Amino acid sequence: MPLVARGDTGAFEAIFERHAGVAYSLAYRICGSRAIAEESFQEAFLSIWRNGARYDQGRGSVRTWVLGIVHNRSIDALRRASVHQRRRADDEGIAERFEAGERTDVEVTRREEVRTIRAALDGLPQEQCRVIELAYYGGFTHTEIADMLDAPIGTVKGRMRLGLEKLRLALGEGR
Amino acid sequence: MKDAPGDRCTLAASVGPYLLNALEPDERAAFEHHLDDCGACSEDVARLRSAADALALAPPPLAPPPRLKRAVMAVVEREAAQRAGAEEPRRRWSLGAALRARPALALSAAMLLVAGVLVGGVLGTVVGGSGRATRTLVREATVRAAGARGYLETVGDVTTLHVSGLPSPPLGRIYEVWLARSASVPAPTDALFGVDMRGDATVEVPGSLRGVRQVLVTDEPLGGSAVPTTLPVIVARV
Repeated sequence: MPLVARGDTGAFEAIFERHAGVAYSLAYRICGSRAIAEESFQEAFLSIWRNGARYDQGRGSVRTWVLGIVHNRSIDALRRASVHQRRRADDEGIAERFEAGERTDVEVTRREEVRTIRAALDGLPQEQCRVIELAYYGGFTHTEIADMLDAPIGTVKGRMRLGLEKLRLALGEGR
Repeated sequence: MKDAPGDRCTLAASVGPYLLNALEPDERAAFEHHLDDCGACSEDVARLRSAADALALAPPPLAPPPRLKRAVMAVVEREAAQRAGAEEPRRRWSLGAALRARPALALSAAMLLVAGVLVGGVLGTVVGGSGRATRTLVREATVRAAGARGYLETVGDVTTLHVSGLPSPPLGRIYEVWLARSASVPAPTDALFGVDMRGDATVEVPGSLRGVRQVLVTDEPLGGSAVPTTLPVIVARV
């Protein structure tokens, strides 16, 4: 990242190559539309290029930083879009956009990572999983979620907290 | 399980929504301020952050279309060149420089200049600098010329066409930008342009792109045309 901050395009390209897949997957999952996902994906990476100097190694990995920017941009894009577009991405046509070709070790590891986290999420009580997904992937605030589910705000907040606690345990302390 | 440290704080309930980005903006600002003073909540946030971060890795893996990388890298390389001072501070097309460098271009350049005056000075206008856009969208364009490249860059409400390596239009002609909506005949714009010595140009696309499916460029007689008279040399899908 220090090289990116100094304007090294090769270093930026390496960062792009390493994180583009998971970043695009996240953007698509949040936006639910290829056009919006592509827009937020591009915005995020241009922001990373322009603001590389803001990366603070002490606050987490490059991947976490990159995905945080992608998440924020995607939620912003989603909120700009109509309410009708604020839904979970359906899986229609998703299969053909899976990475094709040889299964490299990196790809196999990545798929295993997805399976592990997905299993941990699916293992949460449904009401906890729901509020977490609505917040993180749907971009809804706790107030909006409380309205949608007709539940007290305190209950929604509590479910988020409990869900994250259980997720942490399911994924192991060392993550 | 040991009691979470944050349970001792009245704002501990905000830890989950904070990590999930689910607080209202004013609540978020207040909670971040609170974190500066509350060790218990800070510890809670640090402890649960890995779980929230893991959510980014859960979506099914998808490969981004290769054109996204090309579009992003095109902007990155341009901005890197600007940072390095490899390009002029403002890439305003300079007729004088062009004529000094290649006198043979004098005739076509002079004719382009006439056209530029006629159409209100659009000729050769270049938008320089990357700016600090709140939203930037880049769309790769198909350029039907060997070695030429182009892309549309939308920053806020302003869309700019960037081309490089594009041959000069034939003598007595000029490039014209068109907006194609649905099945109708492309609408002309007042964006007429030439290219510099390297075949580079940056041209603002006039008007709104609402309902526009493609931005096209054809070469036309000086002064532009009301309908395209040649096949597009540039097609950019919007």
